[in-house]
Amino acid sequence: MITYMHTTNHLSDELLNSWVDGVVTTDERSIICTHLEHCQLCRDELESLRTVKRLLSDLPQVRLPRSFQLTPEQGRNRDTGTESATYASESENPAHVPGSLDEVVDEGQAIPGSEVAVTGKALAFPGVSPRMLAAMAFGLAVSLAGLRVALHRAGRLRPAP
Amino acid sequence: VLIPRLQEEMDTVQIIDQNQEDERLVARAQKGDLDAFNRLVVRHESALYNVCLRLLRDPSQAEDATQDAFIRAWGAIDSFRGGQVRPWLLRIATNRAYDLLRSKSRRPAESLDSQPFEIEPEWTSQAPVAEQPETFATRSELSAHLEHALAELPEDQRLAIILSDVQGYAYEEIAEVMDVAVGTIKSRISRGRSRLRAVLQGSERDRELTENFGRLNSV
Repeated sequence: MITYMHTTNHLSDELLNSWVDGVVTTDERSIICTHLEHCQLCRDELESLRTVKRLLSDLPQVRLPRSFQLTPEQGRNRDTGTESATYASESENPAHVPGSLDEVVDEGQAIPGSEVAVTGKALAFPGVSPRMLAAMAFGLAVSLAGLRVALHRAGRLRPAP
Repeated sequence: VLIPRLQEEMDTVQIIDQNQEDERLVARAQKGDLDAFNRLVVRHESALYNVCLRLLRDPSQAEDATQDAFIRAWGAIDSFRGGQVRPWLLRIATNRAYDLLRSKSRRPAESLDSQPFEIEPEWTSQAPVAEQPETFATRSELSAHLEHALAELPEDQRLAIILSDVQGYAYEEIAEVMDVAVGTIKSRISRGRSRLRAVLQGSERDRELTENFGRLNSV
């Protein structure tokens, strides 16, 4: 939610910037118009933000140094397997910008871009086959059943009435 | 009133056409058509390179990030699940750029290639058509200062400002590139732009130039 006013009773920068970008609601528009009518300071602030935006939009697009089309050799290296589709590193997630407070883990569309996988495969146990995992699970289940029987005999676990 | 609205509607139609063409090219690329993918490259390489260059401030690294992004996109084209292509490509490219930025920051300071690269003279010497010499001179000087100030912004704000104000993309597309909510983008743009304004108001010379620029543009 946008804070409308600074503690100094002027329009907040976020509201002024929203106005510059033309993304204010009807209510916000009304607040801004009413305030700007009698506040030279906010009009100046607004004008300076507009100038910054205009200067930024005037920065020229740099000409390409070369074409980035893929050569047939680069095209042959197409990976149609799952590797490229399941990658996601800390840096691969664009939400994870260093210094940002709102880090979000992307579980949506795969974005290729990094060497370290943290999803899916990374959660599996490296070097352990599915068969070994199944055997370990079976062993754990047998141990738990044995423990239950032992507790029952010791009178700690009463059967349900 | 009608002309801007008509222009807006024409722009929307154009964007829909471009998205449809992108979708057609992606569908062909997913069947292994490299020529179709290379047409996508031609359509978006300028956007990717410009964003990478302004993030990295190093033309050679921007080239690497852009090329690498397209190679990775081709490799993962089957995982593309629809939607707009440009934000997907930009996410890949900005991820690569951040990887390069981090590896650069890990490099020892005495490394030979750790020197900052000055790029503003070349960037700011391209005058828009029909601009008065005085306006051009003022804008050029301010733009050079702005490029420096942009480089000093926190990374999240810098990318939001580059995509919004330099590239002119909509909040929704930027949110897709950065994978955060639109409200977060709004906030990052606001904080970034306010910081840049503070830089331009920080010195007497910049204040004078900004006032002059505003006056010249209001005439």
